[in-house]
Amino acid sequence: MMIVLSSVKDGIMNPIRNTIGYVLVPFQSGVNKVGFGIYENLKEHRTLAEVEKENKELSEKVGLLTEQNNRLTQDSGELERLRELYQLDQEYMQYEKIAARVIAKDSENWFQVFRIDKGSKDGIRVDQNVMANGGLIGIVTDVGLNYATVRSIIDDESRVSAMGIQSSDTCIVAGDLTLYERGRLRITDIRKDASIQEGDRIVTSNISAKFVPGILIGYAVDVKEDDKRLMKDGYLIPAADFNDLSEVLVIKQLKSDSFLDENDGSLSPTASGDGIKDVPANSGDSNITVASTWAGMEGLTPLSEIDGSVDPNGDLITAADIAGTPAVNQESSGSSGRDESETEESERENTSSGKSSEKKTRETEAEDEEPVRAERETERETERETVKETAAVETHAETRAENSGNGADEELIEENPN
Amino acid sequence: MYVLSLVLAFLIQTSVIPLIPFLSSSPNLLLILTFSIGFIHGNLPGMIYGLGAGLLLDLFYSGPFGFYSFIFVVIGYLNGIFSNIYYEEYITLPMLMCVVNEFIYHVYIYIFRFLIRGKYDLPYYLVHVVLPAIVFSLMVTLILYRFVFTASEKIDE
Repeated sequence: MMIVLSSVKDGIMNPIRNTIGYVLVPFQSGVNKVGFGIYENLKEHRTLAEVEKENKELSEKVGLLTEQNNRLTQDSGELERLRELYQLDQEYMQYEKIAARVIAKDSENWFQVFRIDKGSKDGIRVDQNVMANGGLIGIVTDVGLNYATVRSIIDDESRVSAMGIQSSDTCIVAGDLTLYERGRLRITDIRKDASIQEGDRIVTSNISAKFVPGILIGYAVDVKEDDKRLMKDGYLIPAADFNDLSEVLVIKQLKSDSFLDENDGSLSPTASGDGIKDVPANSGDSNITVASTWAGMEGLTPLSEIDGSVDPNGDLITAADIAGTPAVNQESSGSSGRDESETEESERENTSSGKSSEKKTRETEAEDEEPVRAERETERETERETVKETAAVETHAETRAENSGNGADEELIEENPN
Repeated sequence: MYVLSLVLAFLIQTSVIPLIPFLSSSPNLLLILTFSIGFIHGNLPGMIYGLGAGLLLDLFYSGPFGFYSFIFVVIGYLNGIFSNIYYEEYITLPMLMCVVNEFIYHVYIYIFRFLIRGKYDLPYYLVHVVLPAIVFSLMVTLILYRFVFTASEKIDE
């Protein structure tokens, strides 16, 4: 009876769940802490309780910061390219996150769900994305007052709409219990002519209804045509380590919230104008953050390339990386006429960024591009995407020109050839 | 006493055991307690205890409400039937019951959470999920059943 009732109406058990959760969760986190403490003690044979306590607190903090730092260092090289291609980076940086501690796991191997110690009173809501160790972990499925249940992406029921970062071909990343021990997930529903290859980075797609775009999920391997020769499928090695989860970050922003904003922005031709306004305001708000991020990016672009070449699966990434922006643009654009103008544009962009410390030239160039863009907007709808891409590049250039406050950073970036 | 053991087992099962790194699978303490109680005390206590254990799990995890309650009540009842033929120092039957119960429980989960989604690879699941769970539960049953047995004897006195 109750099964039927709860199947029909989802929220009917929430008061009872909340009550039980309210009573049990403090115990649970208590037991969790005690268990953890005992385990630590046994392992390290430490007698100085105070030192241990302090050490634990500090290492927690260090772990969290290292995780954040790792994520930034890993992704910032990628983001540099994304900035030009997809204009995603601004959103990615701005995702607000809450750190939470994992207090309970489903003890059975059937399901990969866990519970965290933050709930609705801390701002957690259903369908918020959870990440850790530089990758997507899962999604919040259930929220109580002081707890939330998270379903990992390695759970058998998990389906994530994703895309390859190089080609933005969409696919589905599905958890599979039979692949769990091999540490892999399944990628399905790749179009047959899509260019997702072994070693490609797979991120959450921008057409997903529940996942915010651009979060790294993992790397594709063994991509090949399926049995029916209609689609391609393959496997994914997740970026995050699921065996050792103790702290996670919950992204506060919901994808369903951003639908409203995106509908306003993307349909109007002034989308790029918004971007221009946004960025200086942001840099004014937190000069240091932006500066450090850019500085980090500068240091990391070569690092990511090295990373890619060291990575056993990463050969193909580096190849594409080195090929650079024009190659990707050619791939993504359809007609040959557009190809030409596209490469022309990006070449011009390349040369302009190659010259250092000539802001005025670049500004006039950017203005030159203005009529080109206007012409294009009158062209077919299908080309709109390309226009946006160029607009993104343009915005980027203008932003850099305008942002004369961060002179040093600017020079750093300009020295870096695309 | 029983309520306390229920809550304690639940907390250990969800919060402590996952911390132990070398366990690839973990014993289902609530299930062991449920069938032990049913076995020693009979149908009704087994069902009540099973209901309590199942409700805890249901309230804790999302999914259809009553999914765990149902199977735990059934297991409590089934084991209660065997309470007529139990001997005090006889450990073989509880061990056998443990295997059967674990098997029923996991097959129940498989059928209603995996088979209906078109996951037909039963042999894989049997070897990689069900078998380790049964082995670990057997080991824990050796200890836990003894504990429940002596505890209930003391309460009877």
